[in-house]
Amino acid sequence: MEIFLPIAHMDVNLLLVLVFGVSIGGLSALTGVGGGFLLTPLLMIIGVPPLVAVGTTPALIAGSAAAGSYSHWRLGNMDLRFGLALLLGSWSTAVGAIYATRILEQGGHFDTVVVFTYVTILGTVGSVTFVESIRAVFGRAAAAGAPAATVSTAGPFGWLPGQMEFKVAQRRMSVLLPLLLGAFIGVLNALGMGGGFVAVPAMIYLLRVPTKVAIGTSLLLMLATSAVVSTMQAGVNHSLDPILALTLIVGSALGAQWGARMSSILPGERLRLLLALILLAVAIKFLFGLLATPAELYSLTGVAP
Amino acid sequence: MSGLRRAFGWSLALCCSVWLTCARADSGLLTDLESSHVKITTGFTGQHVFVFGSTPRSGDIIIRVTSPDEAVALSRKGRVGPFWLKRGKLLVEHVPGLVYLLSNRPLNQIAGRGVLERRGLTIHSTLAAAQIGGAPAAYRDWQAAFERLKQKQGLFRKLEGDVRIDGGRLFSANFPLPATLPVGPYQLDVYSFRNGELKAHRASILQVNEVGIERWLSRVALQHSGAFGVVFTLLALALGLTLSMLLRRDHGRRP
Repeated sequence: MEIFLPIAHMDVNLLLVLVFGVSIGGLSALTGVGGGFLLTPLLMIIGVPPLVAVGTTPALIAGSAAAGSYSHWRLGNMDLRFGLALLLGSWSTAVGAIYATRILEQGGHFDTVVVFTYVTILGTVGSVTFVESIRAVFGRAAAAGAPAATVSTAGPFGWLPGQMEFKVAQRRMSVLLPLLLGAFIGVLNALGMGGGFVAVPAMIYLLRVPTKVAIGTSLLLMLATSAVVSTMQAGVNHSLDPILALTLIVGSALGAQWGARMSSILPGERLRLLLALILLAVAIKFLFGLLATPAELYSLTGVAP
Repeated sequence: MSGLRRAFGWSLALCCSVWLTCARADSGLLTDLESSHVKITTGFTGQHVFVFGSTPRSGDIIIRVTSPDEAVALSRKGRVGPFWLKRGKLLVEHVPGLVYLLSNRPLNQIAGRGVLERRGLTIHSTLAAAQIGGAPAAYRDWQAAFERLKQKQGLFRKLEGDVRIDGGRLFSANFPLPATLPVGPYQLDVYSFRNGELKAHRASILQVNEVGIERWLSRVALQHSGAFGVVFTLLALALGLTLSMLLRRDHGRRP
């Protein structure tokens, strides 16, 4: 069943897009990590222009994060002060990155920046998660040791100015840390990668925030950052396709229910291994695209009227 | 001097006679479209357009379909260390987004190359007005790449043999337009040839537009983009939240 996308200006198979939505929703419910990093490349593979893929993904992230953050908020897993610091960082860089996207696209460098960012970030996070989950699967002692090792390295941040109490996170740290982390997430989000897959491990391992609070606060960060990015992608870059976004949100909501049921069956470390393999596969796919000799050197892209 | 004047006189006479022949023949060439409007709806996957007509005497028919001029960006990859990256980007302007040439037999059998090119009846000559920005060093390479990519996308096509001629004087053609087609008023030109000479030409307009919800969505998203961004994002948030609550309740009710 084909459906015409008014902004991407192409027809796609509705069922295929729904399946993408279901997979992303399922994956995020299974692993606790949103699937923006996976969705943007998937959309590009089926021929959606990179600008539209990057511009539409934040709407899905906002929609699915809204669902998740509501339940985490009710459970009290959100540190609002910590979240606000993160958001001040992410909003400022995201807005800058969206304008940069426009300039890069006009100069013809947008694809290059997207591909390099994907290879670097997905490759790094994928490798770290892979090693960690392999350790967890093949020996619990080693897994227990891993976070303990990072706890001791968190000490050096103590000299930073602006020390602040974050009650729900049960941590006292410099406000610069969440600001910087947020700033990094903002760039990723504007590039259509969400950023939850970086934010959650960074909060747990680097900033020593309890896991539940890290997930809850990350959802708040994703919700508010993606909402701003989505609004701006539509307003500034005309790159949010409404039909594509709505189909994905519906698919993802269905997938999330299925994923939530599956997650009680599958053990956590196996899930993280699965996530690591997916991250690495996407990174390798992009790396291959950079290294292989292209069959066609030239390419055509539309110009906004 | 007298030789020059004679040559001028001859060419004037020739022009007049060509003009007269054309004018007379023009009244005999009749064309019509089954539908002069291609409507892009939600389920649009491309559409066939049916053109038909008649000529006063048997001959060859060439139909040219061109969409409005547009600008596209053409980029080229190059090697930077081990990586293949986009290195140059140029703007190609004043070029139709779509060019179709349909004929009853191969174009080079219908008329000489010079005649066809003068009338814009080769893909290459329809791009005469095209400007590739910046005048790159390897201009021909860029131009050839542009034509090749457009052909690969199915937007520049030669459909030789797709015009059917019945009983020598009735012709028809049924050609497919892709889903990724540009929008706007298309120019549809029918040329009648006999023995390699142009006998008549008739032009008509084919409208290609989004209709219904597609038209509304693309207009709102492009013309009121700021408001669209805010409203759509709020809608996305509300939809995500509502769906998750609805589905969860359903899940809870099940035994």
